[in-house]
Amino acid sequence: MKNTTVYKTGQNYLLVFILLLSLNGCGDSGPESVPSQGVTTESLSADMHVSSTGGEVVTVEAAIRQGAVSNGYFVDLSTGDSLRASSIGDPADIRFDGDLFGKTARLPDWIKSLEKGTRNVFGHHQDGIWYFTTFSGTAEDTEFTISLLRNDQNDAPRTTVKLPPAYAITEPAAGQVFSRNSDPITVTWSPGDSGYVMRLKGFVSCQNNASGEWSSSEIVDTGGYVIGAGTFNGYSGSCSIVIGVERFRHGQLDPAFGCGGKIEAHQYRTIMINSLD
Amino acid sequence: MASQTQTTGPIMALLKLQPVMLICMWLLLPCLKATAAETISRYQHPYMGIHFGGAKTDNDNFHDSGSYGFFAGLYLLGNSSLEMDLIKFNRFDHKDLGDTKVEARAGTLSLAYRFDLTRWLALRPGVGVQIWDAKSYYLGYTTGEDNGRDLTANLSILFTIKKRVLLLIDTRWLNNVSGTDIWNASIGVGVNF
Repeated sequence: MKNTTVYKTGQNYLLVFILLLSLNGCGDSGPESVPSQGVTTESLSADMHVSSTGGEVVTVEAAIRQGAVSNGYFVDLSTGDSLRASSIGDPADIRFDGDLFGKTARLPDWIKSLEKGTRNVFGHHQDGIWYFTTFSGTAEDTEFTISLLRNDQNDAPRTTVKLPPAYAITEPAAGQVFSRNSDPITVTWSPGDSGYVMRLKGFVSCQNNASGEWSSSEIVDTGGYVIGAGTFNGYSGSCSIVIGVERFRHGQLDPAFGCGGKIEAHQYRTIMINSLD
Repeated sequence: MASQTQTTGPIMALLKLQPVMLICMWLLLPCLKATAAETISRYQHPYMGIHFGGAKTDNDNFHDSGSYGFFAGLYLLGNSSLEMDLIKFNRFDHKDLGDTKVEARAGTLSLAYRFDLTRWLALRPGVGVQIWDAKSYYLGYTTGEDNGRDLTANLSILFTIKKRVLLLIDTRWLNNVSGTDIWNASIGVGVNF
């Protein structure tokens, strides 16, 4: 009798625990997608990126997930729900002085709806449902605001980030040849700025169809980094290596995203070198 | 918004008739005075009424808007009258960006002259000044407020029933309302006191 009571009590606690987990909605869900209709903003997370590759174009990309940003369901925005990005700051701070028709007409130059598409980082496809748009002619330190507008749920109108300063890779030279076993690869960029964090990546592609990827840890921006000799061991023959350099900056996520997430702005630069054994 | 555009569509079509009406009036002007004197029973009482219709801007980035208003006039000398018109434009929605609009309203003061064509039909053009104010919005936030003064002109086709009831079709041009011209077409009803 006592065992039965303990068993049933335990069963009840388990049910309550499972119920609480489902109410929280920020648990693991896997890579599938769900429509946004009926999904509360409190159970969503956001993964947002503003990036420039050095030209005039800045790309804004966003994925919304039900649950955790690392592995929640990708959210497919239903009719009435939309993502917008603004390069003129917080919508609440927009102020026009005169010529309201003319200036309001130009808002789409600075405020754009994100469309469904795919995301590539250093040319590599990212899984899931991504929304994107592009801006042209934006300067460094431009503040971008990304807004999730919901039809029948709470909006998340203010996720903000500033584009970090631009730079150029100064070393190595494009097409320079290195020995993977014995040559360190010195990568420098200018101007350096110690206020930022950098990441480096290497994408290897060999003539024998072997390929691979390497990532550095996050480093303080000192204007240079040395990739040690032997980092790209394990390949044979002639291989090209795309060195990707990324300066990034974290932004402020709208608190309406109940499951958190991140917003980052990136300055990506790449250079291709060649390597031998 | 689509439905609003549809409902204002026929009224907006009247705007296209405005040049035709002006040309007709100019051509008929010499004979109008003679026929009018012979046929009309003059009424030069104060008048007032309401109107509603549609409006469009010269800026193609905006949808058409609905409008409504109040007018009143006072005859000064013969068929010359001093007329005021208060017009509220519902909203001009941005075509490409939802939740983005400009609202405007205007008050006009015009000198008008009534050309009597028959006992019950007349044309009344007017020119004057307008004061306007406008507000712009994005996502419910006010993005700007503006006001000013500029020119306005209008042309009314008047139908008078038993000297008292006034029906009109009016087209109005408002110059430079916060950066754009507004064309307003409306139908109205009023009374001669």
